[in-house]
Amino acid sequence: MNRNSDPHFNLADALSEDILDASAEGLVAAGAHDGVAAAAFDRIAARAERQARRRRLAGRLHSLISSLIPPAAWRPAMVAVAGIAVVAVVGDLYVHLRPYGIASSPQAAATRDVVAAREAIAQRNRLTYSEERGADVGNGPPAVPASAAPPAAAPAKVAPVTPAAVPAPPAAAPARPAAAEEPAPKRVRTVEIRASDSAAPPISPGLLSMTPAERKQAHADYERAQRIFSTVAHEKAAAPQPPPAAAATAPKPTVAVAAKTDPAADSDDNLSFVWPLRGSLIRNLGSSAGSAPNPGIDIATPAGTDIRAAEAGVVAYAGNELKTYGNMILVRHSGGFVTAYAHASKLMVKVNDQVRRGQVIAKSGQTGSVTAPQLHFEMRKGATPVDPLQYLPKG
Amino acid sequence: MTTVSTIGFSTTGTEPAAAVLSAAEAGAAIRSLTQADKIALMKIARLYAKKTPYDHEDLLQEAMCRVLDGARAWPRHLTALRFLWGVVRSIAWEWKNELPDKPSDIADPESEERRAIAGLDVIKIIALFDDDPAAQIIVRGMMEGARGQELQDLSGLDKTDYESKRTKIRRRIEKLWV
Repeated sequence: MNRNSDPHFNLADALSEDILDASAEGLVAAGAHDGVAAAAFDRIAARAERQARRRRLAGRLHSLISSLIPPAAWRPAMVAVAGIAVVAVVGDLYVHLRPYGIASSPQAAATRDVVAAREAIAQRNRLTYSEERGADVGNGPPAVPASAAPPAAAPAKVAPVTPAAVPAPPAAAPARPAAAEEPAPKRVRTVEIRASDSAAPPISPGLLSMTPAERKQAHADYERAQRIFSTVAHEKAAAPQPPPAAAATAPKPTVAVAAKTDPAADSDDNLSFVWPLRGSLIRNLGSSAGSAPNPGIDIATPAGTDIRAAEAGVVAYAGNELKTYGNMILVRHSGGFVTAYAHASKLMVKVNDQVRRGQVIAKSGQTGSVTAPQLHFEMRKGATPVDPLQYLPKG
Repeated sequence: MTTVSTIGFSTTGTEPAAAVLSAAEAGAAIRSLTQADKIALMKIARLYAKKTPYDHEDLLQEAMCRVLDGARAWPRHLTALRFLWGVVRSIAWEWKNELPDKPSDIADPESEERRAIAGLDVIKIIALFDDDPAAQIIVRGMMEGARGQELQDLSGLDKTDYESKRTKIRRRIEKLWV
């Protein structure tokens, strides 16, 4: 008899002998009673067969490699392979985590493409505006040839054309010598700027992470936003600060003439922007929301928070036609500035309303393509986005 | 690797080539096991797996895998059931040693706990037959390694009653461990 020091093993040995001595019928009946199925054994046997096959293969491979490469050569070979792997991983991380500057990074290249497309669209819109304006004013040659204007300065140079058509007050005349040369007031109308028909990518948050349908919607919204901003900027050139009474009663050209009598209308010095609301800044201008640069700033805030006008101005747009932006307000200010307030839950002003600095114009919300209550705040000078943080008070 | 055999044969070592089954023959022999053989092996694996950190399916799979990949030589004179029992037992012993029995200099609360549980198991199994002193004597004898006639003599029962007690013991312990 074999004795073992482990009582459990001794017991298992004895019980195993009983199991081996038991009748087949008794075992099958006991198996059915205890839930021990032969099918489970077959499953285990199949797994064992696969595992054995893998082990045999690994064993053969190991012996083959051992016969080809002497064991002493293994260590330097493994070190070399590990070194190559580390370089590959670190290089890949570097390429993919660095946002700009490496041509081989598809993400960085896509981001650069978006920025370039945005610049191209903005420039094309400025040029188109200049050309169309020249044609619209029309009875004579444009005061400033569109082709001569550098793209970035185009709105500023074109803007004086309309006021120049109006008899300016003496105080304003020295500031605008070109105005005196204009023969007669011209009809001013809002010019619809055609966005490019090319396949320029839309600029909207999370562009690269969107579904095709969302991307199409964002593209359409962007085109419309560009038109709205351009239109507002154009109107600014014609009618920067219509007084409420005049705006209600007089046609736009008249208003534009009246407004331009303010000598400080185009000066940035009188502007003092305030924060539209208190909240946490979650994205800066140009920061990546998904992969596309943000054209403004995003401020997280509880829904229903008062959104205040950053500066006195005239409401140029209040609506929700841009699904990406949700409920949005555009306020036109002096100096060619336009501010945008998007994702609002409630709009409290309407188009042509005169608003004071700090006046509540809307309630915050999460309309449009955002997942949390926030304010998307943009500032543009003409149609060009500028960084609001450069104009808003610090702290 | 420790190989322990208390049932009269060795499951390791170098057997003459003709005296052992090839991997293909071993696979065929396993596939041709009867339903009763399969259930018996499952039950045996459950008994031994109790002393390892793994379950009975792992134990049985490892046993068959070692037979099929040629790590365990299958002597031709052994039946499939006896041979696989030996392999299962040997692997269980090997795996059991992954649970340290001896106290070490380094405090290991987990191993202390395992030892305490093992001790409790012995007490629990003996306490299982508090209502049957004859069965309790047989169980104690089994744990100490007594077998066959010696065990029957210890119990003081005739052959029929002894066989009946052993069946009762096996069923109760299986029920406790399963």
